[in-house]
Amino acid sequence: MEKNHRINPKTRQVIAFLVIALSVVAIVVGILGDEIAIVLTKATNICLECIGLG
Amino acid sequence: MAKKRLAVHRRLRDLVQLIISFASNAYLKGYFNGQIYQGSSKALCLPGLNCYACPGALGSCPIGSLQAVIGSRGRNLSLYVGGFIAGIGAIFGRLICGWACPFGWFQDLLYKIPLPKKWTKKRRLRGEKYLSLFRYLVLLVLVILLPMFVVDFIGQGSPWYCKWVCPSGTLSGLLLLAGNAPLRGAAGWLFAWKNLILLITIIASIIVYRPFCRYVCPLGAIYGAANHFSLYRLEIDTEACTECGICQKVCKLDIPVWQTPNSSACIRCGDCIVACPYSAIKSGYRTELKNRIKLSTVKYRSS
Repeated sequence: MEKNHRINPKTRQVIAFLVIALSVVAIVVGILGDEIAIVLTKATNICLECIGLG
Repeated sequence: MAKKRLAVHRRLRDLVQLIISFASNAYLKGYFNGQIYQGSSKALCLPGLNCYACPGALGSCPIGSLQAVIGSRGRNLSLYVGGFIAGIGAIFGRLICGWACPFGWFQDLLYKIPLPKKWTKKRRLRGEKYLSLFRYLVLLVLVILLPMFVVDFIGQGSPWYCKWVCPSGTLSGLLLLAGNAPLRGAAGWLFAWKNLILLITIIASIIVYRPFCRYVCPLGAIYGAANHFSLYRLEIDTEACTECGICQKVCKLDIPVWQTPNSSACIRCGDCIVACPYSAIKSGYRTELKNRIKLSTVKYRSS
């Protein structure tokens, strides 16, 4: 069974907010880097690999 | 009374999952003409595992998108998708798995199929500890490393996880192929392999609760790791808890909630919260902080 990882509540909250802040920055940088176009292109064409055809 | 409350809670969760799954796959026209939705909303990722090859999908699968960007020429990293998954994980943890994942709900429905009790009572497989690590291996190898490093002559990586494993994609494919005759003709041995995985997942889901989420899902691996620090969390009121074990008894994943309330396996379905006769399990955002604020307010008033 998994051990009970007790992280200090304050540290835990700092980690959570840090991850959220970094993810917001990452999303913005990703959008500016045109990643969204890759996602859109992949998602609007039938993904043959996903359904087991390609 | 507690049993009734638990039944109502489970019905509520079913309803929420139904609404979210339907809203994520609401392009009804696609199911009939065998085409997928091609609007701009597909640039946005959905929080749960929901293949973008599903005829009704209005958004993108985060794991599929992650591989698509990592595997695309000249890129080894996906800040947009990676940031999205990390952010959702840091806020909700596996609350998404329990309440907002269409493939999770599909497994929930399968588990409702009645089988002899001898089988359905089996909540834990032998070697569970090691099996649950398999999803991290899937994430690292199939979702990240192989699409990153195994590339073709133009530098394009393949979505290894989607291609060889993902049963959600196969299920979507079946829906798509039902209305698309030309695509049906292209089905070969890979399609047969993926259908075999889907069949195994379906059978396993009838016997064991959410086997795919527990042992294979790479998205569940990320959200599970985030369970340890996410803002939404479960907490035990140690003064109220008698360690009676009812929380573990009602937990379909057999988690000793009173010991590990934020276990990476927990999908935060909330059954334990409702079933606890002492109301010792609390859930919410930053509950410890709230408690401290309440405590300091009481101290301030009493002084």
